Amino acid sequence: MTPGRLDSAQRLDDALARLPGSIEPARDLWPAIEAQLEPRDVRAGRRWLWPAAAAAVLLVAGSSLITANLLRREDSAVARQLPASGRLTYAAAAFGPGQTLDPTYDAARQELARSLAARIERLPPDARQQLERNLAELRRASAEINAALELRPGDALLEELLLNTYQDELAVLASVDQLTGGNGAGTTTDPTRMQL
Amino acid sequence: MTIRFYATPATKPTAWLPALALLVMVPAADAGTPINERAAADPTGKVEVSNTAGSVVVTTWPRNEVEVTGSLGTGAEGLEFSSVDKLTRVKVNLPERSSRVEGTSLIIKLPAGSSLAVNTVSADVSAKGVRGQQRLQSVSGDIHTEAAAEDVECKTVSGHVTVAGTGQRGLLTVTTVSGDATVTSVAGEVNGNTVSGNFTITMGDTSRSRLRSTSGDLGLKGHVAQDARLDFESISGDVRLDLQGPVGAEFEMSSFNGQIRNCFGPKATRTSEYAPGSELRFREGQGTARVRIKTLNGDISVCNK
Amino acid sequence: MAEQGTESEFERARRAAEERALVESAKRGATSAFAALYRNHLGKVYGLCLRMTANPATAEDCTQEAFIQAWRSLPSFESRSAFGTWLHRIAVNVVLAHGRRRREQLGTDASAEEEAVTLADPSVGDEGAVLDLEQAISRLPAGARQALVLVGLYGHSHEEAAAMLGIAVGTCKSQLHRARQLLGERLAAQEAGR
Repeated sequence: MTPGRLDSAQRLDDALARLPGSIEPARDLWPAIEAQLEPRDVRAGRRWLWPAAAAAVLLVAGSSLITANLLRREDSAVARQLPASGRLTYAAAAFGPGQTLDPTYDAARQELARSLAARIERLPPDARQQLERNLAELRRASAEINAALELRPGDALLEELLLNTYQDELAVLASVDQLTGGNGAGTTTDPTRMQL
Repeated sequence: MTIRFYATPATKPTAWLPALALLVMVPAADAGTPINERAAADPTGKVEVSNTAGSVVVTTWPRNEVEVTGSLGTGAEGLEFSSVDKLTRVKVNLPERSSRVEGTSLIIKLPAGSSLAVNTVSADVSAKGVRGQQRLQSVSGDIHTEAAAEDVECKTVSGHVTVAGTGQRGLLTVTTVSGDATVTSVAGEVNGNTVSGNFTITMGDTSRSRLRSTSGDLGLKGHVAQDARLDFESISGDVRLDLQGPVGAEFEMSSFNGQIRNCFGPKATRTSEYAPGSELRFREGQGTARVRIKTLNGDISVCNK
Repeated sequence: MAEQGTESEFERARRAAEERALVESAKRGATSAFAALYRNHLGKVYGLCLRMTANPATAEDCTQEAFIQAWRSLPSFESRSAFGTWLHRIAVNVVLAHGRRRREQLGTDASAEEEAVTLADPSVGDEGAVLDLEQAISRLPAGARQALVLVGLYGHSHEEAAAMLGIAVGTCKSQLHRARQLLGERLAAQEAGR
């Protein structure tokens, strides 16, 4: 190679070396990519998540305040199943993929449901049906939000809505518990004979 | 101490003793047995009413007494009425086993400064003029009341709730499972929770409001007070704001699947080009109010009328 | 290239360890970890796609597709090799597949496309402007351009580049030489014009 051509070749090499390796695209490509990331079925290993606002679950009669600790969930499919209508049975409360609510919350929920199961029988049929229909609606809502969280894990809006839905469910159970017991209304009468 | 009397309709006793009184109506062997009882009461005392079915109508008067009138429903065992210290109790007793019970109508007059607690199953509740705290609960009965300066809490499963403001600032909490709620001109703080009921709030001088629903619609009308803090959240219900007058507020709205419609100009943007999610943040006017709305599927609409 | 800089051994080791952790996390399904990998490698992947396709819109599509395929293939990725190299390989495959589909759709002859561009013509490009190397690279014939981008810009070995491009090592060297020759002629013509 002649000196002139060497210089030219060197200058080309120098120019190539100065070119940036990274170029940013004009638009944000992540949303389109994220939308097509299929969730993985994670079963191996333990995965513990503590939200920034983790706190113990509180259940006070009439209280509608809970916060959540997030723990590993064994099987997401179980938590998404809706219990059969007309029965106060609950699967473990899911909180997005791979997490459940604190077992203390679940225990409180189950306990309240058991306590209510007998009391709800005392309600007039119409009211009982309304209540069961609406509790089913709450469970359907939490299942829908959990399904959305499978696609968008960690979405702040979805997590807030889900937490509030669980709060609302507990509040409804507590309210009905209060309305049907301990206040004298409708509790001293055999509901099977009571026609209102 | 409570003492229970049973008497025949012909010899119905009426005792009226200041600070210690007890009356119980006769067993309702006949339909519509009239009730007519009265006892002295503290002007700021508490009145508790329990009536399974029928109706409870409460009004106020300038006397330091509680009066109970009305008619006992067929099948009711009797009325328990006691007034001890600052607590007056009115309770319709139903037999343990009864083939059929008809509703009892209770008409109660009490001092305006009283606090009131009412529990029913299907009996409707209506209260007017009460200025003390109110705890009104019914499973399926409707509740109508006014909100004054003190806390007012209304709770139902399927009953509808109607609350009118009196211009005084207090705290109103409405909780239903499927019942609707209509709140008008309540000053102060208004909080509501429902699963499938529809809540409609016409604002008074509402400084703070937090409404949540699962599938019920939430509607807010009126003027947004300066420094107001309004938070509305629904899973599948629509949230609609029809605002009046000059609006000075910061708006923050987000919905996973719902549409966001804003009459003030700025349009919602997608949080992701290919995935669900819309949000809208903007400031209107000069005020310092803050309005936050979040839904999963419900549509959001903010307009000025 | 310009960004390799003077990173210390310690810094390189730390970044490598961080990346391994992100990869492991993404393998288990953490999209947040994959998002971090995306941010770390987006520039190079897009730069690679842009220079290989010479078309920004096509490069965006290929970049997206490369990351999506990487996510799907991640469970089979073995951490022995560098994640970036593995990702580039996926990106190159995506670009080549796109090129094949395009040729099938247009019915064009690959060899005809190779000869279509000459850079010695001083009328090509901006008269009197400083050599726009990026622009010149974009106007190289596809084969030459791809070899130059992988070896000349992104530092892959001839063997690696040949494997990615699915060509013989000798062909890759030949294409690289052709690219440098065409660019050199362009450079010389530019200087002669001043």
